[in-house]
Amino acid sequence: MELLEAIQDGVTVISPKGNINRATSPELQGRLSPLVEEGKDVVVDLSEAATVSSAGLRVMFIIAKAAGEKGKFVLASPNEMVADILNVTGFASLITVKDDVESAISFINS
Amino acid sequence: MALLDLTVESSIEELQAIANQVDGVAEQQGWSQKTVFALQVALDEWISNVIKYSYKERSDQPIRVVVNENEDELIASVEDLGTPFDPSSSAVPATLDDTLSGKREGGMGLFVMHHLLSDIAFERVNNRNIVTLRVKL
Repeated sequence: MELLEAIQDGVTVISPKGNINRATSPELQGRLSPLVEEGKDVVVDLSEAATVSSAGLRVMFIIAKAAGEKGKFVLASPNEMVADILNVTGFASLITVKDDVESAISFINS
Repeated sequence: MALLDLTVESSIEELQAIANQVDGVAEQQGWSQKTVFALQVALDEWISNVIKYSYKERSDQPIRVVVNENEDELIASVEDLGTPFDPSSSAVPATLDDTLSGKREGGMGLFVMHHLLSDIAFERVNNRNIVTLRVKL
């Protein structure tokens, strides 16, 4: 997994590329955790995330809880299969998921 | 001959090596993205479980992954020599509230596997745990 970071309209966009699994999810958590602790608004752009396993889902959940009221945490652009996993596990009702990064940023900045 | 027959050490870093090999076979066989996704995630979940529960985080033990296909399904088996470990003994949670809140661990991986696979079968043969995962092509 590679992690790209960009700032778009004042929002930090983290783009993981590859597989988010038990081997790679600690690195993702390590990158996201300080951002949400500081109260920054964060979008995780999943467009290049080929797979997300339960370890990856757990990290998203921990980060969303840590973000709490301090900042907004939004997932964007999951592929069809990742979107299905988010739905069937119930994550999609716990974490905001948007179809693309632009909608995620407008949601945060609205 | 199997499409893939690979033995790796029980280290979590090996997940990527396995994923790369599976991607290679997938391209060669022309599997759909959905099929490859199901296999990749199921292998990730299962091998993570083997390392954690069967090998108790020891990183120098063998894990063998064999992938084959027939007319309508893809069949992957994962073998390890660790502690007897039967997924059917740990119930798949009906709701994920407990896993999500951290009250219990491990259930979500199995839940995801059951969702993606057409079948999961477990055997204990000659001190080996062998799981067979099936994905519809």
